Amino acid sequence: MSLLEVSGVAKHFGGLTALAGVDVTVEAGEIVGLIGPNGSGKTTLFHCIAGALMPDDGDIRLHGQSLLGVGPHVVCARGVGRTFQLVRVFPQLSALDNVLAGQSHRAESVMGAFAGASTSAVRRRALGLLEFMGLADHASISASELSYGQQRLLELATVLMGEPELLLLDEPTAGVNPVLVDRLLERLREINRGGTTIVLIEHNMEAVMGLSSRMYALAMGRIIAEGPPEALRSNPAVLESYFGPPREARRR
Amino acid sequence: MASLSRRPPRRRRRHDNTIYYEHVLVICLVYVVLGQAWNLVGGYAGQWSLGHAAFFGLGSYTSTLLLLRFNVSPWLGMVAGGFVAAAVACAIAFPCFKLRTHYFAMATLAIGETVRVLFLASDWTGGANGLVLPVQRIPSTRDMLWADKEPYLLIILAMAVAMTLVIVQVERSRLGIYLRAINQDEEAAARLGIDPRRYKLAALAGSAFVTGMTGTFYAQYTTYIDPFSVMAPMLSVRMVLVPVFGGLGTVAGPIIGAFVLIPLSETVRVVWGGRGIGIDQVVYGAIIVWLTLWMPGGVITLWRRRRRARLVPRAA
Repeated sequence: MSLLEVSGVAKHFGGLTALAGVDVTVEAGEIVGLIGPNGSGKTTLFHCIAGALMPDDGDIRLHGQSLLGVGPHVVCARGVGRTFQLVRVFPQLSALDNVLAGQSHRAESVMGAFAGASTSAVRRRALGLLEFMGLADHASISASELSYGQQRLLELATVLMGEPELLLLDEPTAGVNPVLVDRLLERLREINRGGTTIVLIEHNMEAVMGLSSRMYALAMGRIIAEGPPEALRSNPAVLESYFGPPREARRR
Repeated sequence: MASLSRRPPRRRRRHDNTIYYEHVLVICLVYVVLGQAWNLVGGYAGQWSLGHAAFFGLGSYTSTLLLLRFNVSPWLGMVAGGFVAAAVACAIAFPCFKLRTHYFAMATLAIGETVRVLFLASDWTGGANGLVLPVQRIPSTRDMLWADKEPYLLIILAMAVAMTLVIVQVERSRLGIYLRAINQDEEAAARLGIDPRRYKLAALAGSAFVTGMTGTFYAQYTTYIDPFSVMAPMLSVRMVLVPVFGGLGTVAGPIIGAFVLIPLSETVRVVWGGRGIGIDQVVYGAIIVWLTLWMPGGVITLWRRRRRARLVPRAA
């Protein structure tokens, strides 16, 4: 059984078809890239998997169990962590509190959350994640005072705090300076080596092709190609979705 | 010597103003409790309720009706009032939590007014005439009625300390982090596994419970309630004003807010209130506007500014 099975997922916004029967399968331990031009439906697919949007048709299964109709907090509790296209950290919380907000909430009651502060073990883990992302010196600084790239790393640390089995990353390198991009990619490889499955949307082709073992290309809400990065690099349908039809075809 | 022994026993002489100062202190502490309770849902969870007067009124009416109609002690009535307010809060939370920011505030304002009008129209609750507590039983510990203000002062002081300790615990617990996360970005909090509805509901219910209990206390203290005094929209506004003025989402905010705004309101009332043209309210409003412009983040920012100034000394 695959870790994630997306079958025939469709999503419409009024007259606009964002997803038109998308099938994606992700095996445990993989890094899968999702590419496609702007507006091809990549983020909508992430929203559907993460429970932020309800698909109009199709099914999404994690370990064979449907994720349809459950809220984002339940999807997270089942082991799916995600980052957003535009960084979303809690700006007025310190970097450490941001990471602590990501600790596992499975079966935690409101009274349980009220009764206890984060245990020292949890705090050590949060500090460890900040160190892993190179943010240990910024633990007590408000997230709003960090640079955009550092906020990206902080968001990733926050999501990792919940120990997700599957990580959905929406353009993790967007707006990040090249030095931090290298650190980020290295961290993603380490996270994957630790057993976390990753699906990432990325426009940085060098990054996504270097990381992914397998890729899907989306265009106009449909999967137009699937395979190893080398195969997609020269796939005519993928090239056409990005650059338009070949010159000969346009002349005709 | 004989004449001395026939003198009546010496009574402790109290300055006339003491009773007034005690009253101001009681009202300050009432607003500390109300401010802390509102701060939980408004300051920490970010749900700006403008209908908290309804919870206050429900608390006052529940205990008063239980006492008048069924002779239930207000000590029990206080808990019952808290539960009624919390139950109504849960009922309104389901439709209202779909709304965000200003729309949530508008919906709660409308609900507060609806509850007030319902109580105004009902004969069973005394309508516009209100309800008078059984003052003939004074003093009665069982009925929470005393002639002196000291017992009331002790009760409200205990409530203020207890509520402040609850908020201190919220600050240092995981709940505080989750509520502030929801406040800053609900969707981002939900993707981390935090259920925003559950935590917002708990904050609103807890806040309404304490507000309802304070309503009972207020009814017992003033011995008379009507929808104009315990459910007025202005009461809801004051509950918001106290923590916002002191420092939103902080433990000290409602304490500072209450101990600045209430004495300020009393002072302008004493100085200008007798003219009968409402100039005291104008002066009160003007001072609040001026103070807010001076300290936009609340009075607590003064401390932060001073601390920052100490840490980062100005270049010579």
